[in-house]
This record gives sequence, structure tokens and C-alpha cells, in this order.
Amino acid sequence: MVSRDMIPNNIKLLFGFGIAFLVAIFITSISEAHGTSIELTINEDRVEIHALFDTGEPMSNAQITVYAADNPQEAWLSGEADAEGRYSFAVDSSISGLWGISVRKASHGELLYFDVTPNGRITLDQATERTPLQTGLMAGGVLAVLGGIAWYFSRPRKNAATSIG
Amino acid sequence: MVFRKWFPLFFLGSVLFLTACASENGQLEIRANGEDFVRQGFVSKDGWSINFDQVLVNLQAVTAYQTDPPFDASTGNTPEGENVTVEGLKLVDLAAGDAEADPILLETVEATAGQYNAISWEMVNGNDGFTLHLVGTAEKDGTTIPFDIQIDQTYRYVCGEFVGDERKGFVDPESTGDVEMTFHFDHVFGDADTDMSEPLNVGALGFDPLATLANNGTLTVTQADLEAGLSDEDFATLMDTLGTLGHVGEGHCFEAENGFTGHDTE
Repeated sequence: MVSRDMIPNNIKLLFGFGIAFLVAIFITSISEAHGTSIELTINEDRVEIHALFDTGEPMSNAQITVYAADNPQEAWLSGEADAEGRYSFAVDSSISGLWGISVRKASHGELLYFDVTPNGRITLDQATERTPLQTGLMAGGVLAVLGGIAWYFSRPRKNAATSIG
Repeated sequence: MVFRKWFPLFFLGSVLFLTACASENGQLEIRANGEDFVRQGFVSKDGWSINFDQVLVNLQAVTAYQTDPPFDASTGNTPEGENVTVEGLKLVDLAAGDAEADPILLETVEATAGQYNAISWEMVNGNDGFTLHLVGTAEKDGTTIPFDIQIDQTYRYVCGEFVGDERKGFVDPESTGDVEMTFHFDHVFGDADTDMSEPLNVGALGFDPLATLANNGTLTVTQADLEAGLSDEDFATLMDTLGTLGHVGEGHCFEAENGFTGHDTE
């Protein structure tokens, strides 16, 4: 039996998880093509890449090529990931539109995308189609947030409870 | 009378309009690439030097798309957006030409300007009764086995943007872009130049199991012969790796007909 005192805490926890889920999904994109599992994270004006094979092994020294939105056929930046498969770069936020990042090593490769909005915000929102897992997590997050809001407005007020008692 | 008066203006306007419309289009070359493995030969993971005389594939419903947002093949969905299709069944020899030959041009099609960043195609039974027909020789330790292998399994690949030395698929008005279907035969036979612990080699069949089916020093088999002659495990490995043939450069595709994932056979 769940005590009445515990319910609010559980719902608060659920509410918190829901928000955390949504934030994580909006700022992080994990792309799992067969053979690779590459994570893009936005950190202020920087894009951080963590490239792994789907075996979990890092794509060490992977070849990185960045294509800016205003000239998508020419490399804007080229570089190499470190031994852990990590690479990061500062984005020129004055170039709005869809950017591309090519990550390649040993016949494994993937193109990933991010957007720069006209006001200079870097986002993964519209850049890629979401996988069913991401969609499911997002739906779970939304439901948790809505549940939390519903609980907040439906809970008995302290002074009302006092008057009833 | 009024018509005759305004006809020249109407005619000129129509020509200008049609010209403007036409300038929105370019051309898209759709190519198929068996890579150097097919054109130049290679050594399998179990030491067979394999050279191909012919690598015939029957292709159908080859369609290139402009997708927004960019298509993610791992979803397994069918791409949506402006698209161009190669009509009919096309028999292609991926081994045609010399060792330095360009990827095979399947067709050049009129295409609306933009980037074709997704492609899908089917490998189907053609008029000759095969999906894939491999003809060549395998040589190891002084033994040479001519082979003729026919597969009749149907495969459907859905893929995102080409991944390689350059980006592909850009069609500018009145110019020509290209997209590529890439076939990775090292997934089937493995590659001696790649570490044996790599998933590519761990998941590949190699040629040894096929060599055991040779009759009088020659291997001539259909898919039914392979199913009957190979162990269940080896036959499943062969069919699964064939399901991972389809790529776009180094980018992996999703095999949507049978659900082959290719996770273990990179």
C-alpha cells in the first residue's frame, strides 16, 4: 500500500524525470546506423561528437568533415577524432540552415546533421528523423510532464484540507 | 481581333514561363558500384584470392529522394519527398570495365533541382531467374576453383545520404549530379586486409564453406543447392550478409524486405 505522503514525492520524481528526458532528447541526438553509434551534443556554441562503433569500441582517429549550411558541397572544417572517438568544434552561428557532419573510419561512415536557426541557435530539433525509441522516450517524457501538471492542479489545497478536517 | 493583337505577347510570355520552369531542372546520374573488391579482386578472410568475371544484379524500383529532414535509414521507413525513379528492371554487371572503371551508370534521369539525399532499390529475380549472379575464380594454395553462384532471394534496401570523400546528390538547374548504390562484397567473403577480430570478418562467411561444395574442381550452385549443401548456420550467414550488401558509399542501408540488420557484419 502506498501511503498518501509518498504519492506526491513519486509524482514529483516522475515529473522531474519527464523534464530531464525531454531536455536530453532535445539537446542530444544518438544516431545508430549499422556499425556506428554516434552522439552529437550541443554545448552552447559548440557541437561535440562522440563516435563509437556499435560494438562500443571508439572510432579512434575517425575522419571528421563539417559542411556549413551555405555551401554544403565543400568542407567547412576537417579534423580527426581523438583516441576516444571525440571531437568538438565551434559553430559559426551566423550561417543559418542545415549543417552536415561526416564521420568516417575503416569503411564505416555516417552523415549527421544539426540546424542553426536564423537567430543563431544551434539545435538538433529538425535535423534528423527520430527513431521509434526516441519518439517513445519523448512521448513518455511528455506524458510524465502532463501527469505532473495534472497532479499539481488537482491536488487538495492545504487550507481546504484543514477546513474539511 | 483582340486575340491576334495579344497573341505575340501571350506567346512570348509562355516561352519565358516554360524556360523559367525548365531551368529548375537538371539531371541525376544513378550509378551502381561494386567497389574495387569487384573490379580488382581481393583476398577473402580465409585466404582465397577471389576475382570476378561477372557480378550481375537485377535492380528494380531504383528511386532517389529529396528528403527533409534528412532520411535516417535506421528507422526502416520508406523515404518520402520529391523523387525520381528508374523505370523497369535493370540488369547490371558490377564487374564491367577494367580495374579502374567508374561505377556503372544505370541511367541519367531528368530531376528537379535540389539534393537527392536518400535512395532505395530492390534486388529482384530477373528474367534469368536470379537476383545476384557471381561468376569468377577463387584461388588458394595452388588450387583454383571456377565458381558460378546464383542467388534468387529478393532484397529491398533503403538508404540515407551517400557517405564518402565527397557529398553526392546535388542537382543544380541545368547541371548534373549523381547518386550511388554501393555493394559491399567484403561483407560476404571477409577481407584479409582487415583485422580478423573486426566485425566485418567475424560475421563474414568466407569462401571455405563454398569450396567444399565444388564438384570436379568447379563450383556451380543455385541458392537451393547452397541451402541443401551448406550447414544451416553457414547458409543463414550467407543470406544475412547478402542482406547487408547495400550501402551508400560507406553509409549503411536498411534491408527492408527481410529485416536483415547487418549489426554483426560490418
